[in-house]
Amino acid sequence: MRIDIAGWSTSGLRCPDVTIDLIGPGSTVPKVTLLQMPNGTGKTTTLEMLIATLSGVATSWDEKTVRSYRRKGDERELGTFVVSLLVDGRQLSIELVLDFEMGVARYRTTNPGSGGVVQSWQPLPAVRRFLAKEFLGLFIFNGEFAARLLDERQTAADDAIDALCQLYLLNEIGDFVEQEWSRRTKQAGAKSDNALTRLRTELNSMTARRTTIAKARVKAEAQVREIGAEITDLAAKIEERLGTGRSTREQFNEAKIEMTRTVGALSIAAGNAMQALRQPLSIHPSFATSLIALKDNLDNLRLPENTSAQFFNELLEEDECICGREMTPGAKHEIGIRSLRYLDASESGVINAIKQDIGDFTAASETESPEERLSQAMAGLGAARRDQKLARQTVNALKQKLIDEGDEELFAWQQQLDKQTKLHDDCTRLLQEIDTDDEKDGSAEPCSLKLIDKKIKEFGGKISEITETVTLRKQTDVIKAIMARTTELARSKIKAELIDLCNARLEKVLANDPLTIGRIDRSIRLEGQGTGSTAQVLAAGYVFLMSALRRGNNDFPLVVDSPANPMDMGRRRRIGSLIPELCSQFVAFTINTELSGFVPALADSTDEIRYLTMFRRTTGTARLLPGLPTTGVSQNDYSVVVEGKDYFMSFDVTDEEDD
Amino acid sequence: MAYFRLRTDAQSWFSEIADSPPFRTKFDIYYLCLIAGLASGRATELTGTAHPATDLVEKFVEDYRPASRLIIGLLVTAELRKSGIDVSEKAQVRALFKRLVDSESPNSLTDQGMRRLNAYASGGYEYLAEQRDMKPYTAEEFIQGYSALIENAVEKLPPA
Repeated sequence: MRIDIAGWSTSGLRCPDVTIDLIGPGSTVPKVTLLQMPNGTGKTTTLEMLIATLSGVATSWDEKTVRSYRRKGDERELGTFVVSLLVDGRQLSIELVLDFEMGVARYRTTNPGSGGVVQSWQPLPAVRRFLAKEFLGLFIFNGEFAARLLDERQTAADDAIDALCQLYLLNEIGDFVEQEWSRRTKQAGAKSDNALTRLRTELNSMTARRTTIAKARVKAEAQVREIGAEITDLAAKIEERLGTGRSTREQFNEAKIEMTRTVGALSIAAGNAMQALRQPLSIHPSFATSLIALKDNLDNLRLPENTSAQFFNELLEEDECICGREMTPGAKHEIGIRSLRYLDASESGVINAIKQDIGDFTAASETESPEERLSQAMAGLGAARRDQKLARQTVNALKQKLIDEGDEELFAWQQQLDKQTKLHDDCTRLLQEIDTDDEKDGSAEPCSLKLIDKKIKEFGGKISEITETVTLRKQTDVIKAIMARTTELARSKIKAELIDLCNARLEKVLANDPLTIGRIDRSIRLEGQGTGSTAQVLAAGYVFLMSALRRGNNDFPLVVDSPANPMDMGRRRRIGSLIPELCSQFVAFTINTELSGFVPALADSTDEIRYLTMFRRTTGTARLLPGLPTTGVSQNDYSVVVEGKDYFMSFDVTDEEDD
Repeated sequence: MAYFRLRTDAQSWFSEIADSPPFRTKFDIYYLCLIAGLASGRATELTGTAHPATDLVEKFVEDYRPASRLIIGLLVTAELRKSGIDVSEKAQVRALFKRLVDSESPNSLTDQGMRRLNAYASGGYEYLAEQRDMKPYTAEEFIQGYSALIENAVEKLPPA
């Protein structure tokens, strides 16, 4: 599928009213469109509106969010944003209307070829999956997103591979066979009875539960990762702030040193106590008493006896018993049975060793007994815990004192740290509950994925038996297992290919300061270094994203705000020359300061390039109006859009000039 | 071959403290449960699917090798008490040893002996979990309270 953005128009929103036509006089969208917008012209709002309009998410916005898009001082009650797409050449238009009075959002969708106008967000199902907010974020973003691909806290790189390489299709095959099995079980309608209906209800409910829990797991895992990083950052900031200053801070630093010491002492004390516990006789005197009683009684009973089972076994070979009587078959039989009651030599050896150890360990000694050792170790542990608690209280009290002395920012950080620590603990606990393999069966809403899977299998198995679809069920499970394994293998293979492809491109793009991708594990991990410079990271992010876009069989537009801003001239040139090769439509919101290097390189790589310059109409920009060209200008009360390379290259406004 | 086995719910219960010092191996957790089981006389067999468990090791780990025969001795005394066998009943004491002890085994226990030892570790975990309001979150706090829990267990043990 190929999706192009044909244009958009906006009215009554924070960004100026404007119509942007990306097709222009030609019949197809050009490969590259550069839209120069000075800072303050609404680049961020436009990106947000593009995503909100295409994804249909605005209906879930609260009143505050809806009203946040109203332009200050504008009396109009409605704000609208309309995006026109070409889906495999066919038009699709989605309109988002924000009702500022009511505080609600609504949509209108126009599919000229099929369905006409619908008063809601209703793109065709085949397109819908590509309009999910997360997916749109892969091709409509600001320059920072590329850097997110290399942020260890994010999963953006993995998500991009799954989405762009359509690995979801393998899941869909699994879903299809599952539905087919379900359909076949329903065809056994004549056999359906209450039990079958109940099982189906239970299966559906458990399957829905699995989806909910799996989503919760993904969310909790991401939160643990992100919050964990935030906690580290906050703790470091607090630490740094607390470590600089006088008086209370000096006391605080000393208290922290003391706390470190007590933590070490506590660790040693706990180690000593555990070592003492490893001797069972130390734990309770009754253990020694019972073992001594056992040994004494074994001595009294003369156990193990000197006579062992082997003696009787050897006796069976003789013609006569030791008492001189003839060894009859009856006598042999009886001696054979009774010999089993006696201990053989090796068993006797173990018992003697046990007796020996009991004797050795319980013997009175001049050195301290195991019990005394444990008692001392426990006393040491108690003292170490008290010291550590005191040291922690001192640190906390001094920390509070510093906060009370007026460091509001520190206070806010500490509050945030406490809040995030609690949230982190909650998420960690939730993950443990989801991953546990020992949840007791019985709850109607189990939390453990393993238990849920087990129950789904059980219900499926019972339904299969009743509906005589056992073979089909097995085949379904085999196909699903193959799809799951294929997804895993495909992901790993695609990752390997992408890494090779990206590294080959990075070698060219970052010729002077090379950087290599080592692996993709949720995010892109660089070889041999934690992270690169901002410009390196951005370049690596672009190269990855464009390689992934190219790797999938779909073509999507890339809409980027400030694509080249943090890069130096050399990298701009190299990235600029790569872009037309790597995506079917590239739309960039730029400012004049990032044009040099980037634009000439783009222009050298493709003839299909369209230059648009846009600015607000204000008294501050009134000076620009007399200099507008005679053709290619469209304007209204709020904005001016000029088409043409000459005006674009000579436009010299970086920030919006207000009244 | 019989292994020392620890219930998975016990492993979850100890999950906050088991993997860091002063604990050196999972056997430490097994041992603390076992002693609690032997002290309280509580044994819960790991049969069927009621209490899933995982194999730990086949032999006593290094830390516990010196005390291994004392542990077996404590198993014997616990089993004598549980079976109501007086220690003076020679034939029955001998038979109990034959059931529990095997010199050829790497851990000196028969399969049945190991099964019973694991049962005491399992019962000991139940005892500890019942006695505490919540799972342990710091090793230091748990260790300090452990002796008192064992003391209580021995006190509540009915006379033989």
